[in-house]
Amino acid sequence: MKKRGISPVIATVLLIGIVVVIAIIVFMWIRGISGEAITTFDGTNVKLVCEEVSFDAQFSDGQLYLSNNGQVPIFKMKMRIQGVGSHETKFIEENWPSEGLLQGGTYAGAVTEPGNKILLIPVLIGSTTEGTEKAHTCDERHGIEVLME
Amino acid sequence: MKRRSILEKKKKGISSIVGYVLIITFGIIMASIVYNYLKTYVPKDLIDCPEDVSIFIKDYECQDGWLNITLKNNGKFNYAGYYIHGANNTGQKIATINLVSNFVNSSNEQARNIKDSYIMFSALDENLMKPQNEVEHYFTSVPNLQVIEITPVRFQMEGNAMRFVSCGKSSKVREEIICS
Repeated sequence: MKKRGISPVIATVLLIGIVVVIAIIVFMWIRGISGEAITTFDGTNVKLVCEEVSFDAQFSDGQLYLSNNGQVPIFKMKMRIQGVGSHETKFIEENWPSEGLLQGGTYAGAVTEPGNKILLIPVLIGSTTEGTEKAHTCDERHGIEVLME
Repeated sequence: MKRRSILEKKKKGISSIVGYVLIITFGIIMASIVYNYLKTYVPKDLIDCPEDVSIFIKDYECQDGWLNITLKNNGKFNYAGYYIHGANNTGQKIATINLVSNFVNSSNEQARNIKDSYIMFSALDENLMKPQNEVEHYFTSVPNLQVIEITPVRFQMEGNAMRFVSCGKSSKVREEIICS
């Protein structure tokens, strides 16, 4: 009788232990996710939408020209101006449309900072799970590098 | 004794059902959380124009601030309208002057300008410009242009929704012009 009694107790303790451990893992995971706040664009993770961004860029006579050729509006454009032994990162602000560079949109503006080349990195706007808007800077591999001739 | 054993049995029965219900509920909740999280990571097909969408600047006249262009659909697909940009320097590879606000009228009565961003051939969301169709459009107060760039746009069904698609990747046309 005693031996038969031990088994259910151990089983119960094991079950409760496993459930508690899983609950802690799930809690930590969900807390991590909510902290990360998934940003989506049209229902797709904004990180994947960065793959769809398509734009052309040219720098000529101190002017930077951009054209949005894809389907994704570019909310902002981050530019990293690389000089000799240094670089400066900033957003394009002069003449930049407030609603972003929409489909088929173009941009022309002066770049006065000295440098050898500019890396242009698109910034998209998405919705978080909480319903707020959040900007997401795409990876550098989605950017375009133009020479400052 | 008999009554007690029956009660114990009943209690045991209820406990296992509650256990199953809890496990299944927990499983469903976990599955829905994981599904909602992972579905945002599933890549969708890229939206793009068919490669055979093609617009052709058949003819143009440019003088005294007027630009008159004849466009032809020489592709295999209909399209709905176009973006038009100009540049006053042939060295500028990207034309950035939006000419939509300079659009005045057309030989096609239905043509209209929407949102000052692109020109449509129809007031409705439809691809009215059929293959081999031609249309003549007029623009006024045009600055001294040397380049025009035209990008066709289409409405396409993507899933269950009609989407507005710019054909900038594959079908943009560029032409150097001389204005007098």
